[in-house]
Amino acid sequence: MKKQEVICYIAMVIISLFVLVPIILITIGTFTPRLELYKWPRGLIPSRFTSDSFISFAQSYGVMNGLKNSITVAVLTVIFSLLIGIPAGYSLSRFKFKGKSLFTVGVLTTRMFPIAILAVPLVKIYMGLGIYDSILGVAFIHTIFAFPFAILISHSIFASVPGELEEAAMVLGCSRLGAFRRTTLPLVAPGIAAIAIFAFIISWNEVFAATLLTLHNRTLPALIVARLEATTLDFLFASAFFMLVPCLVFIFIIRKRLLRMWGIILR
Amino acid sequence: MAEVRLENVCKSFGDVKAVDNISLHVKDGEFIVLLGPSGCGKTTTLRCVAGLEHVDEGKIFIDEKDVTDLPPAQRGLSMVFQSYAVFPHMTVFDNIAFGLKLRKTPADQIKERVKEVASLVQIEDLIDRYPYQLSGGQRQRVALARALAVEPKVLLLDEPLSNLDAALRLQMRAELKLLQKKSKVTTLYVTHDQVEAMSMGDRIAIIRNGSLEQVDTPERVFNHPENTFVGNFIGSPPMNMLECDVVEGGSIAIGNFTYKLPESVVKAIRKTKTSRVILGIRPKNITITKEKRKNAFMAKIGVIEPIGEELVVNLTVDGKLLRVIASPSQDLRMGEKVWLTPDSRKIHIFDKKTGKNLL
Repeated sequence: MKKQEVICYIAMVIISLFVLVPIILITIGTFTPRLELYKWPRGLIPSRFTSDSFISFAQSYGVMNGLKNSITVAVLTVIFSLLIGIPAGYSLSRFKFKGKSLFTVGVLTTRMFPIAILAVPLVKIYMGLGIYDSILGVAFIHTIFAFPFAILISHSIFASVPGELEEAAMVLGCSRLGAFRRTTLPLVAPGIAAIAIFAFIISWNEVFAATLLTLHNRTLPALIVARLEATTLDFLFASAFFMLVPCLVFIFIIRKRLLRMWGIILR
Repeated sequence: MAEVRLENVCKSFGDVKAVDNISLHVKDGEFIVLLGPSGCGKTTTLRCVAGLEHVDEGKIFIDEKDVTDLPPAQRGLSMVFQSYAVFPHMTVFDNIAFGLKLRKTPADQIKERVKEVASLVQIEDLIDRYPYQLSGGQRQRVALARALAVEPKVLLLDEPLSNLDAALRLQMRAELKLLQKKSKVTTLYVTHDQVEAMSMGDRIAIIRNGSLEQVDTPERVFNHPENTFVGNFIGSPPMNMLECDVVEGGSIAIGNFTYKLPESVVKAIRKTKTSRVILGIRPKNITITKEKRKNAFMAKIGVIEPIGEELVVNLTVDGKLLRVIASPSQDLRMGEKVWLTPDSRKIHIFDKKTGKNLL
């Protein structure tokens, strides 16, 4: 092996461990019997595996409701982000118009202000609009977080599909919309799926705004954060595991397909 | 089969006039080549015919039907793009069948027709492959098959050979021409390659800065260029252009020499009353001799470029560059002074002011 390759492998191992070790520890902790968690010293592998902590977490007050809220908010965020991101990204990649670069920069400036600065005005505006402590309200703010990425990613995805494909389809008998549906859409579908997942995970993981803008209708992370200080180790492990799993599953499902489909587009 | 008529078509992008008042009548079954330097508006003209660009002014007719405001789908034409635009997510079969499916052709007929055109362009073995498994030339054939499958009234080709390597381009050039002659489909072909244009077109439309310079058969375009641009653009090496003054007695001055013009040419010049003209003469139509001849002028040999069977001899006359094609058997040396005799039947006289051919 060349020296560069060795360094590359070492770096990959370190990065993988950096990501994997906490995930493994959380997973083991979740399925360790509750009492064993507090033992000291304690072995890495528990005496037996049990789903007690997990079940009690799932059954504890507010968790199922929080899960429902989280999923609703995330799905809404995905829908809103795609509704804004796809047309905007398409326009940016296909048409020339005045203020195009300004728009691209403008999209990013939405991420310029930390939510902490916006907290008070946001709450006030939300109260004024009557969407404080509502699922829709949280979905809106999560959309604000997600849509700049949705626009920029979809822009680059559409730019990778030549406009001539649509033109060829139009000449062969498609309407503009039909041409988009038959040529560009199938080619960008994996990319759009990636945007959807990205938006979903942004929303799923977001804590601060969700905590700030809700009282009763908390999303799962907001609920967990609110309980962090006064809770037990088993609850912590179980909640961490619970938050982690959807992200991992999504990425594993989509990973292979993403790479394969993009491989075709890029050729 | 159909004829195509453009009437005073104009198309601008911002301040740039891409197509400037072009009128063109393409006859039924004709192979017409739109030729011009890059950025001259030939592709835009083609896209206007396709309906991919909406014209600012003027009208476009296909078979006497005004299609100016019709979307591309309803114009009954096909187009092959420079990048081929083969659909990457479809097999070759689905690519070729694309237009037929849109026309709701029954499945068994689609199968038959795809087979037919695939064999026409010799890709019947590749029918189940995806475009990324094909070479550039094969993709080109897929694009062509896809365009022909729908039996278009008009076939539009936008520099279809420019992405192929030289050998393949030569082969496809001949095949395309044969294919067009067989199918008798009215064809508009865009290229910047004059050799392609000369070898393929029934007629050539030469475009510069969005305007038509000349529309004629390859023979006419070559032998009777309407102006200096066409004369210069067609032919390689290009036509020699020498600016000269008209002197009394039906001659023109080339440096210190006077060159006597044929009577017919003199008449034509007299009619326009112009005093300054451009003498155009192709490199092949000048004879180099070492000894003085009647009605010849002297030039100094510069660089000599051998191009196989012939030599391109660069000469200077009165400070201006001239190219002459000569035979290697002539023992020519750089720096040598020689005599040039233009073939008086092959000369062109252009008006200096307008650039128009006076003959």
